[in-house]
Order: sequence, then structure tokens, then C-alpha cells
Amino acid sequence: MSSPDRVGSDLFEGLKIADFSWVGVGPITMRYFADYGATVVRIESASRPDTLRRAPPYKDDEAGIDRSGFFANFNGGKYGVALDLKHPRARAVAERFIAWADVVAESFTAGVMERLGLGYDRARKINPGVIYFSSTNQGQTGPYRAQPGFGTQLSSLAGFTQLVGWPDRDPAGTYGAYTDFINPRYGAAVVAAALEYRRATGKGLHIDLSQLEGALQFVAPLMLDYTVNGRTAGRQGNRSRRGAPHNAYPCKGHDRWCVITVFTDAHWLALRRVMGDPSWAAESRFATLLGRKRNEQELDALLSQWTAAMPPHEAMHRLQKAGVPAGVVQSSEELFSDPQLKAREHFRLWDHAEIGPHHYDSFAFRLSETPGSPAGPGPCLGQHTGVVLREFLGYDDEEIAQLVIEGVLE
Amino acid sequence: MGDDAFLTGRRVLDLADEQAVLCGRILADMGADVITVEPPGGDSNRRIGPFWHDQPHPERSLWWFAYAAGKRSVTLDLESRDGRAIFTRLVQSSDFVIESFPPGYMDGLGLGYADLERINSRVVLVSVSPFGQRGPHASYQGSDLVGLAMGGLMYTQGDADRSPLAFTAPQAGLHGGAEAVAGAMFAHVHRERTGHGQHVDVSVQEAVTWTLMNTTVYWDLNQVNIGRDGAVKIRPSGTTARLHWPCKDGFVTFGGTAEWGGMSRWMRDEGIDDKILDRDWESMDRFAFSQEDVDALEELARGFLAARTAQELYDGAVKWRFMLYPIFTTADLSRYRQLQERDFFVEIEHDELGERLTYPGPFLRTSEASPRIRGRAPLIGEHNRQVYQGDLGLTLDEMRVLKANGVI
Repeated sequence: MSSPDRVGSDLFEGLKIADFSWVGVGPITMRYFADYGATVVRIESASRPDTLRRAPPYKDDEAGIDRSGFFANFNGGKYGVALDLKHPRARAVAERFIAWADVVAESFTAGVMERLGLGYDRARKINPGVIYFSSTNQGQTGPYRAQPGFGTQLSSLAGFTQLVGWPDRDPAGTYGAYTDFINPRYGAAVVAAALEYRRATGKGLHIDLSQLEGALQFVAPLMLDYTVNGRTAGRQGNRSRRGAPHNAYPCKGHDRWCVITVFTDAHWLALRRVMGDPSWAAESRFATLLGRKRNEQELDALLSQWTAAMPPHEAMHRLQKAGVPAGVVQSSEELFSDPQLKAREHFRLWDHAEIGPHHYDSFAFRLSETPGSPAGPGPCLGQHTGVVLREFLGYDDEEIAQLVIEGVLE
Repeated sequence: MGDDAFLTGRRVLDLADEQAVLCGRILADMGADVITVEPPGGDSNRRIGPFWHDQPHPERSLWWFAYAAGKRSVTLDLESRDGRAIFTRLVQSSDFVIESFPPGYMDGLGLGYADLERINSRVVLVSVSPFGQRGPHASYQGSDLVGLAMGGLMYTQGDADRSPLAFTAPQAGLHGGAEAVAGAMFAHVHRERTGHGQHVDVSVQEAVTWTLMNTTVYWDLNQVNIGRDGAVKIRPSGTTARLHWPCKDGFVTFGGTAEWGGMSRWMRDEGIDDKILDRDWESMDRFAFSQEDVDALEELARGFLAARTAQELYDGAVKWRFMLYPIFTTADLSRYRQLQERDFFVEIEHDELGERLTYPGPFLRTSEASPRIRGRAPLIGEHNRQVYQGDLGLTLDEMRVLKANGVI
């Protein structure tokens, strides 16, 4: 059975995923598979709904359990089932999902699935080949395994907050749950690898994704700088030892910026040419990388005078055409009109039952032979409960009605 | 081979610069034989710092150490005919090729996907580029800042009164590299089932766009652009609240009125009796705070946090069950008990330095076939003989000819 509003690739056609996860990493990881043809069922509780269902932005800025585009984007193309996992009779239904699935995903605080009787050890008894994906902030073991947290907090623990800001000020940090967008990439890769492993060996397995450990790969050289050189990484604005100019420069318009990064002599000469080779740029103190680094503050100020006279897109196009790496600091609004993202069809429009037509982000790779893309809108809470229990799990209408009356299904 | 790993026996040819160097590292952790193919003189990743004992040298880059760990290295000049001929032979026995040259460069060498497919129809070509292989910006040059700017992330980072910000260390290419692993493994699944490889086209810009959380959705649904607001964040209710705070010995992250249930219990336990704490925290609507409420709570928090160390505050948050986390530095992370008790850190022997260095461990663990670091990063061309003489059967004399002519 396929839902009428789903389309997609056939790469993972026939793959069945019982997605008990919530918020960021788990749902995004499983959306990769939905985009490439898997049947993904998001199993949620109405009494304790996904935090993102209660997080903006909402359609028309009006809160509602099915109105969050934040939730919808991470769950596009999935079926929605509402099951109260705390109900004593829910476990039997959850076990039917586990028996049905190739992949079971969960992202509760470590220990919660065990307490519900649905941990990996139980799951593999029900379904010996199951690939069981667990995602937590800090892993399934260790003294802080049970400390709850979102990616926003974890971005601080993993070092990123400390690394965004100015040397003379307190950390500014990332806007959001930065680590939540590192880890799904590993999650998708390893679940795919595990499927092949199972095909070859017959063995299922348990994936312990610690979002902290995954995120630390992105600061590994700085970790080594500490363990090898004893240096603690600090904040340095946009500066880099590898080049100058290397910063965001003000452009014409309100709070508009263009980044310019000069690493080589060729970049520097091209930049000079684009600027019409003003006399300051020809000064010998700016002729070498060392000279530009030594006089970087002044260099930034002089370059800013040039950029300030033109809109950021003009600066970028002129510099890029001359071979200088430059880019507009784009707002979300501009991403929707970015011709490159358009050419890649990054945003895909789907008509959501409550939100109406809105856009879903494509992932960042394109496969030449088995293309995929956002496969459908996000589900409303429990939108497909009946049809999924009937057609995937084999419940009959009477059993389903009984489960609804008892409050197992919500 | 007795090694139980996801990619045992799989070969990867890794031509990637900083935009995708992480991809091969992760495939190596999963057990693949990753051969980094360096131009004579060395891979560009070797020029990226920091450096071992601050000695800038291609064999001392900590960036290279981190992202080439477990790989092998051969040198090869792909721009020479002999180099291409050797590369072609390597492709015959390879499962993946990873590259991040400007789009079209590989085609120009006669090594584009159509060419590789003819050599070995099973091969998966993973191409990572700043904007993707095709489109109006495909030929534009990338850099860390360009990726973070054009992907939309910089717009949301920094203090409102100064410029948008990137990070202290490059990030954009790591997103490209990590995304490339997902694409590579999806193509791997298809290849194992059908026998056919394919071309995986990764855009760094698009990978960065995935880090925007809900900001694109804000524009899409509400026509709001989320900008940069430093340590003070604007809440959904329209109030502004501080997220990052100074404490006695550093900084902590504590934000969101949802965390005041636990914090208020702790404060009361410490004898703080302010009537603003008299609320039914568990059942109240967490968005129903006025700016006045938030300001009063923050006044109380400021002093409480400033009087305690980050560790004391973290312990308190664990005990009283709410979300407050220290803002760790790399030094704090190296000492963090959670990571130590999970044996996350790995000692790797660097025989060339006569030292063992401590590395962050694998990106993820599994109950079977778990990923792990396979060893130190290779020296330039360290495996030329192993690969060219051992695998391809070149003679010592042929090796000398190629070396003399700058091919290897």
C-alpha cells in the first residue's frame, strides 16, 4: 500500500522502518530513507507529542499540533501513527511494529525503551535481524547517559558555542541545534551499511549514536591541538591563519554582507583587478600573505569601503567571475530564490493536510541512477493510524476500534 | 580477513580536498581500504593547521592526522598520461572514488563518471563541490566562509552589532564530507543489489542549508528572516531571553522557560525564596511568559549562575533534572568523564614522530562491525610500493622511471 500523496525513488522500496524517534536526529535520519522509497512509520504519542509539534514556525503563526512546519519538514513522506506507549496495552502493538520492521529507530533518553520493554534485547528476540537505531545526546552508556538535552545544549557541550564569537566578547554560539544536523548524515550512512551487512551475514545489530561523539569529528583537529600542543581553541571572529582578506564585508543595503576569502597570490591579484587596482591595494605591505595578515585590520577596513558601495550579489558575481572565492551572506528568504538551489530543486513543495502547500528541504546529494527527493508532506498526528495497523500489521477493524476505545491508539 | 567491519574488502580512491576529506576517513573507520591519491608533493589537506608542535610541514598537519587516519597513500600525477593509466588500473579494483575538483575537471582528464563507468561499471563516483556539478553557480569557487554564507548559516550567527560569523575551524567541507558518506552508502546499497555504480553529486552549500534548523521554514510559513542575536535569543512568544551565561569559571547554556521547573526546585532547596518562583511550572504554558517575567527570572539566574562553577551547575542540573549544560572548551572535552568512561579517546602510534597521540574516537558505534580508527594518517606516498608493485605488479625499474618523471 502506498499513501496517495507519496512519490519517490525505488532505491529502498520495500524497506520498512518503525520510527519511534523524535525531535531532530532520529526523524531526520529516517527521512533520508523516506526520500529514497522506504516505508517509514512515525509512531508518536498524543499525550507526549514530539517537541517539534509544539515548536514554531506554525502556519499563519498560529500554534496547533499539526501546524508546525518545523516538525513537518523533518518528517516529510512518513506515515503517522498515534500510540500511547505508556498505556499497558501499547507494548503489544509496538512489538507488532518491531516484528514488521527492518529498521527500528528511537531517540529517547538512554534506558527509556528498556523500561518500556522495547529495548534492543527484547527487539532482537521478536525480530532477530532487526537493525535497531538508537540516538542520544551522549550515548547508551556512561555517567551522563540519562541527562536529557536537545541539540541546542549539546552544541555547547560539544564545543561549538565556544567557537563562534569574538575574542573580546562572550561566546555568541550557533542559532540552533547545530549538532542535530551533523549526526543524521552518519546515521543514514550506517543504517544503509547495516542493511548491506545484514544481507551478507544475516545479522542485525544495535547502533549507538552518541551525538556528542559524532559532533566531535567536526572539531577533531582542535581536539588534537589540545592533546598535542596544549592549546585551547578560542574565538577569532572570521579570521583564519590560511588567508587574508578572510571575512564578511559590509555591502550596500541594510545589514548586507559578502564574504571574501583570499588564500593565494592569484586570488589577491584578481581581487585587486576587480577593484580597479586602487593605490592602497598596490602598497607593498599588502603584497604578501604575511603582509596582509600583519595589516589585516586595516586591510579589512579598506576593502569594506569598496564593498560598501555595492549590493552583496554584485560583489559576489564580480569577484567569482574573476576567480575569487566570495559569497553572499544569504538569508532564508534568499535561499528560496537562489538560482543554484533552484537548479537543484532543493525546496520541494508538498500540500500538507493542515498547513497547506509548503516547502521541504532536499538532502545535499543527488544520485544519478536512483534519484530521490522529499517524498510527501509530514503526517498529522495519527493521520494514518488505522490504515497502517490494518494494512501493515494486519489488525482488523474490530481490533483497531477496541484499541481506540481503550486509549491505546490516540 | 578476519576484520568484522561494514566495508571489509572494499577499496576507495580518495582524491578529496578539505570539502570531502572526512568522507574517506569515515569509510576507513567502517573498514574500507582507503587509498588517498596525492599529487606529487602532497595533498592540499596537509597544508591545513594546526600543526604538531606548531611546525608547519606536510607531515605534521593535525587536520591531516585527524581526517586521513587509517588511510593509505600513493602519489600520482593525474595530469600525466602515465598517471591516468595507473589511475585507470586502480579504478578497476575499486568500489568508490571520492573527488572534490572543480566540476568538469575529472571529465577533462578523461576520468569523469562516464569514463570510470566504462572502466568499472560497479564503481561509485562521489563528487563533492561547493555548489554541485551543474547549475548557474557550479563553476563558482568555494571556501569555508563561502559555504557557510551561501548556505545561510552565517546569517544566523554572531552578535547583532557586528558582522555575521563562521566558526574558529572550518565546518562547511565537513558537512559536505559527512553528507557524501550518506550518499556513498546509498549508492553502495544499489550497487550491491544491481551490480551498477552511479554518480553521487554533493553540494556543500546544500549540506550547510540543512544546518538551518527551522529558519527556512520561518521564511516559508511566516515570511520571517531569523537573524543573528548572539547569546540572547528571541523566543517564540516574542520575548527575548538569554541562552548563554557567564558562570564562576566559564560559561553555561541555560535557556528556555521550560527549564525553570528544575531550576526553581534547586533554588528553593538553596534557600532562595522569591515569589516569582511560585508557579505551577510543570503544567503552565511555557510560552506564556511576559518580558517582565523573563527579566525577573533572569535577574535571579544571573547571580545564581555567577556564584557557581560550570561543573557545579552541571551537577545541579543532573540532580534536579533540567537542561543546563557547560559551554565546553576543547580542554574541558579532553577531560570529560562521560567520554573517558565510554573509552572514546584512542591512542594512536605515530612511529614517524616516536609518539602516541590521543585522538577523538569513532563517529559512532555498533554492536557488530563497529567503526573504529584503523591507525595513523599515511606519509606522502607511503604505500607506493605496496600498491604499485604489490597490487599492480609494476617493476622496481618502472617505479624508478615514473618517479624520475614526476608521475609518482
